[in-house]
Amino acid sequence: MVIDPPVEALLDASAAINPSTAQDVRSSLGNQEPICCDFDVSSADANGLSVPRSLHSSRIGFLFLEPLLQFRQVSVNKRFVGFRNFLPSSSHSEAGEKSKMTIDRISGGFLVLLGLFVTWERRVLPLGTQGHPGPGYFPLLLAIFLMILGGILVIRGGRGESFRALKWPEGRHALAILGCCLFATFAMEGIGYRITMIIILGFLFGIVERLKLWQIFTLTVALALGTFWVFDSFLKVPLPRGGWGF
Amino acid sequence: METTLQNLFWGFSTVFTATNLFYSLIGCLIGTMVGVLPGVGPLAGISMLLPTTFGLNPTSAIILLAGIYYGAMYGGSTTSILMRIPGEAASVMTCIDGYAMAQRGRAGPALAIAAIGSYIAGTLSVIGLMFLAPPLARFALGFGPPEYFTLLLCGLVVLGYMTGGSIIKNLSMIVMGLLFGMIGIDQMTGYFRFSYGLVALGDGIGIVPVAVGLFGISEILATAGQAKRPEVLKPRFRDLFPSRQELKDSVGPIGRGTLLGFLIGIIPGSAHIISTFVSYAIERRISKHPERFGKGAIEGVAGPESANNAASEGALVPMLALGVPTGPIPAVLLAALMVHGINPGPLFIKEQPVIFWGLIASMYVGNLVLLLLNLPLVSIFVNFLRIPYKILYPTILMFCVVGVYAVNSSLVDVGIMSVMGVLGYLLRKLDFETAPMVLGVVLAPIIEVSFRQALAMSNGDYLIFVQRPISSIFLLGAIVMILLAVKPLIWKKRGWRDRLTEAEKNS
Repeated sequence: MVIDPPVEALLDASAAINPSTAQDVRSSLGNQEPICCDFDVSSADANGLSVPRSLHSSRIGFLFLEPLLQFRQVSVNKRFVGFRNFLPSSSHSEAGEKSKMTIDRISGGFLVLLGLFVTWERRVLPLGTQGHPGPGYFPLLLAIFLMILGGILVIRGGRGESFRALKWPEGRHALAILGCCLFATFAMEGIGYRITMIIILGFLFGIVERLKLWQIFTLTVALALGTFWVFDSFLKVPLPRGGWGF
Repeated sequence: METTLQNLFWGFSTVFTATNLFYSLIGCLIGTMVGVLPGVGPLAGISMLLPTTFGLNPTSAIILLAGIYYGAMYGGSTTSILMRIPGEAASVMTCIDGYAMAQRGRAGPALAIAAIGSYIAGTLSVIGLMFLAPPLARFALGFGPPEYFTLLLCGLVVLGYMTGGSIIKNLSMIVMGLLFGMIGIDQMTGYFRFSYGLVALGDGIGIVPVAVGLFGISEILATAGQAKRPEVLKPRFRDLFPSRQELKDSVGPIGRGTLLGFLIGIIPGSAHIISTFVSYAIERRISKHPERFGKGAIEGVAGPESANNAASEGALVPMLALGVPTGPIPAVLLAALMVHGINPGPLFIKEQPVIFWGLIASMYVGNLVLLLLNLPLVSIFVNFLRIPYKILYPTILMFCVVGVYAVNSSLVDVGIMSVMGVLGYLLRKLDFETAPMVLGVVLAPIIEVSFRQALAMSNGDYLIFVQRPISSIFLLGAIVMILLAVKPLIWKKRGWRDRLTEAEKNS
């Protein structure tokens, strides 16, 4: 079990004063599951609750430290978090200290913006009355609710994962696939299903995945023509043929 | 009782035609493939294959799609046992003891027990569905707009609570889905809303491009370029038979898993996933040798697999009886019914008895087909796992494009799918669950119309939702769920929702 560094510091300080009690506390903490420190010197400092340095080394100081350590022990056992979770937590979060742009805050901000956008776009739709709500009534209610939820995420999101810590290892593939989807959207009716699919599959198998030439040719032609036959010819689901009928 | 049995015989007479038996068989086979293949979940599978049913009559179409649904649930266990990779989230618990058994050379019996448990659970759940859905539908006939609105509201809040992850994020996904559902012509006034002059958006954005985008494309975007898959174990047919002791040890877990799964399955949200957790926890708790769990206990495979399959059929109860889907997969099945001109709701069973009882009977047949085919063919299905992902994902992408285009022959739908794919990919990165959004899109028109009609009935008095008894019960249910969701903000304790979130992330 790894004890949080601030608690370790407190234990070291208390050991100098009362070794047996400190040992008891250390062993009892050692039996708990690791969780973040509920109360530590650094967070106390950040919250403006300064812990005098004398507390670490003076015999009188241990009178304060002991209940503090016991509080820590109780808080570990019962996992009482109190109303701390309702408050912005950047003050006692390491991640928050490094970067306040957490994924929760970014997404909360996006939701608020989306709510504002819907509220703005809704202005052309009549609201109606409460007795006869118009087409703009329900979207407005939803937009307000979305902004509230987004606001909660922004306020409470300080402890989430940092946005900068997000990894995008699949980014290159994702862009290529997205490009293929957009190509299909804009080209399929112009050049037909089969040619579109030959281009998309050829690009993915050949350029992105670098398969062998015979594999590219076989897979591309078989899949593009095979699915056309199954859907269009066999199941009678019409697929686009393009300008020259192919 | 007598009427029910009479109707069931009628259902069997519908299913026992060569055509419907064929579609049931095909559905089960495709479903198993969908369940086995990584990157194609049951939702994306059903959505992509929906256009292939357009040429069929509604009964055959729904039999085929339902076959894909429970086939996929069945197939998910194969990868869990042989590769320790859950084919879908509900198979997470099977990984623990299933893979441990496979490492000890007992992969065959683990697969066999999973198949037998799924068959028994599936069949018994159909009996529950058969007896529960019709009376529930009769009860729902007395619902007016206020009851429907509060029922849907309660369902959505329960969904937000029961889905893993942050409830605030889940609720925002539901609201976002409802907002997407507002796009198109307003049913009550004929106004075009948020369409930006695109006529194709007049009918709103369809469930298929949304589901394929959020579940199919986003999965490909997130997983393409991943490392080589681990080696796959290949069991032989003669190794599949479990020992007498293994069979004996599995009886209790299968029975308990079935009951639990069916009851939990009716609740909205990730019911089939939750049921596997509960089943595993119960089996471990009541076992005389709990230390065997995690090291290859057959009970750890039998219980969760039975619960998973029972829950997936329990989820059809509210969909068929009330027209209210409890998850994204029943929502797509509901959309499939609507594509075939059938309006789901309390009158569905009364007005479309051929389809309802045909579906029920097809489930009995389908479960048997799965048992008879899956065990002998398991070594063939395992071969699908050997297809390199760099060949698989372009193929899945192609099926996504053709499946979405074919629904309305519209490239706007392909565009919506692409946008939803990117949105789903980003939302996954930002730790959002996308399933609630799909349900929001499906339920948006019903919930809005019910809300506006209820307010019109009361002349703008919101108290109508409290004054009507059934409505107030649903409202109370929603409030209780919200209070339960707020509880962890005060008392931090690692509960089932945290474990569910973890499992969904790892799957």
